[in-house]
Amino acid sequence: MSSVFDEPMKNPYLPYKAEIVEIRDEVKGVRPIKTFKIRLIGRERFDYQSGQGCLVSVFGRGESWFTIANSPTRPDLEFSILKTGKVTTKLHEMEVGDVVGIRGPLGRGFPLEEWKGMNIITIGGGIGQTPLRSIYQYVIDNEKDYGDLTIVYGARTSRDLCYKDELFELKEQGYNVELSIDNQEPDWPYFVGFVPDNLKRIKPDPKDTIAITCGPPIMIKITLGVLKDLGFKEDQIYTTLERRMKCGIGKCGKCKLESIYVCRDGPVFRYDELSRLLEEA
Amino acid sequence: MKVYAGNFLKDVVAKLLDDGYRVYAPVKEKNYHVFKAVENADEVDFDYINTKKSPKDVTFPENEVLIKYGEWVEEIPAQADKTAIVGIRPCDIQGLRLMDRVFLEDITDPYYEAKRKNLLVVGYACNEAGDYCFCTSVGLSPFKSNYADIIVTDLGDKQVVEIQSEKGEVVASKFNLSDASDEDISRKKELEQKVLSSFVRSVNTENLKERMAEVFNSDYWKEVAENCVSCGTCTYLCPTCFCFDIFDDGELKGVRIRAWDSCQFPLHTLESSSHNPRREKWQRLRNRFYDKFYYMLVRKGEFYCVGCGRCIAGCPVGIDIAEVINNIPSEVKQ
Repeated sequence: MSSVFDEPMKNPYLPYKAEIVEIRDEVKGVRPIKTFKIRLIGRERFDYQSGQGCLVSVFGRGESWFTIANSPTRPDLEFSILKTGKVTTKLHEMEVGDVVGIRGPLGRGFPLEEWKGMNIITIGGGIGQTPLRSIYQYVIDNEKDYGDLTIVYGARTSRDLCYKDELFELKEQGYNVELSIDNQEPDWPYFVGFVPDNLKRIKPDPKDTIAITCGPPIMIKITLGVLKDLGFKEDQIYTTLERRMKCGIGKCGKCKLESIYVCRDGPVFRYDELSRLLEEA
Repeated sequence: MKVYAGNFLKDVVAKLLDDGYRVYAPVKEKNYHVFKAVENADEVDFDYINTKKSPKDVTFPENEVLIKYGEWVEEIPAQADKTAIVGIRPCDIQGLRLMDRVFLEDITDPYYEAKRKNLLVVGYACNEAGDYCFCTSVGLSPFKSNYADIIVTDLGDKQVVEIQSEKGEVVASKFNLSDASDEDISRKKELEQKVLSSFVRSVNTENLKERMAEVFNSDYWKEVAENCVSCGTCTYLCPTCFCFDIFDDGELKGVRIRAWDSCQFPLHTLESSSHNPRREKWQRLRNRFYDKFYYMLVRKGEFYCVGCGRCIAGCPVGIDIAEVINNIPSEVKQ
């Protein structure tokens, strides 16, 4: 597990100073999503793994956990943030040049080293695409180390899809990108239906393949069933869990799921680590 | 084993105050005792079974400033004065040890560590079990704890002083202690027998983890929670409950504070997406029992209950952790 907090560290509650260097609109409307590119001030960006998160501070409002949306092979830190609470509302009002605090990288990421030589399929829904984007960017940047890459992604409507331009561009370059929306819209040339249904249609071969799924809990649940029907074993399936988090370092107990601290032991889990718990994760 | 001809606990409070320590000791308030920072040894009263609240706030205060912010962030140095707890019972010493494991293992919590490093622990063996005590059921002794720097047993006319660390040695060396006689030792043993026979409560912990795994989905937990009002008194009083919240106080400049929180509160786990892993009060109450006797056992290898019984004494609707555990059904009721 590599994390900045495994280095001899100072105060783990003390954020790094950082500034917003770019803001992109992903989704507009009443539940908008923006992607913020953030650069640390006065120090190099720390190394991290896809799937790890940071606590972003807006002083006076608090801190919220976001999974890092870009690959460690790319510059800066990106976070795709849905406007939903008091920290994220303030973030959505902020502009390029504004200062925020960053604590991270936190938690356990995806074992991308372990997956070398494997085919990778990411299955995402809505804003759950965030950690998966970090994975596919990483795999694309280290293409020779991995087998086939398949990106399955869907949202309620075409307006709710994140990273549209990037995904259409990858599709044009010949990457296997399978998009879907829940209901038919004019000029939508791709699959119409729920993400697990699209997965059933695509029928990925479980041989030497790792499947990573992230999205709303109900989508994850149905996707797991589809993957199992396709012959995927529990140790070939990964997901990330969402919990309320405060300290980010496995102390405050908010994200505790039985004996697990999601912020510290996760948020990435292999499915067999979750299926043996008493409680439904 | 040493003896002191007099009240060692009271005299050690006076000595530590003289030496510049901040001293937490039991003080009588109305009809109960609480640990308080005292200024004079005369404020202290050692005639008690246990205090109403555990002294966990000595190392983990109810509210604590982590950082200050304004133009940018100001770090609050993690530091602490020389501090002592005098008169802490063996169950609460175990509570302190379990808290140490939470805050000092894996990533170190610097605010806790600073207070803990500067803490002297003078324990006080029990002379009698309280109405709600069941420490012997969770593997503890009411008159021993290796984790204290010094532990004192009151024999009435004198006190037995057991020195258990170098820190304890430094303090004890300032007192006129003599070696315990055979008679002192046998009087101490008699007292211990008397204490052990004074327990009226016990918890059956045999195969508890397996039994709890069996009944996780039982309606039993809904029955247990029927009268629960989710007030959080149990977690507030518990010497091993460590959950906290962090929030900012002040819009443009202010402080980031951590404050005790409780898994019994619905907001504890509510996410901004409106997903709440423990929406129902019976799920939250079940979480408390599983956390004490199952989840923390998996994580740390030991029960996170010290058998002090404060949650029983304090519960406004009479939920009794000992009864709840003892009455776990042997078969799953659906």
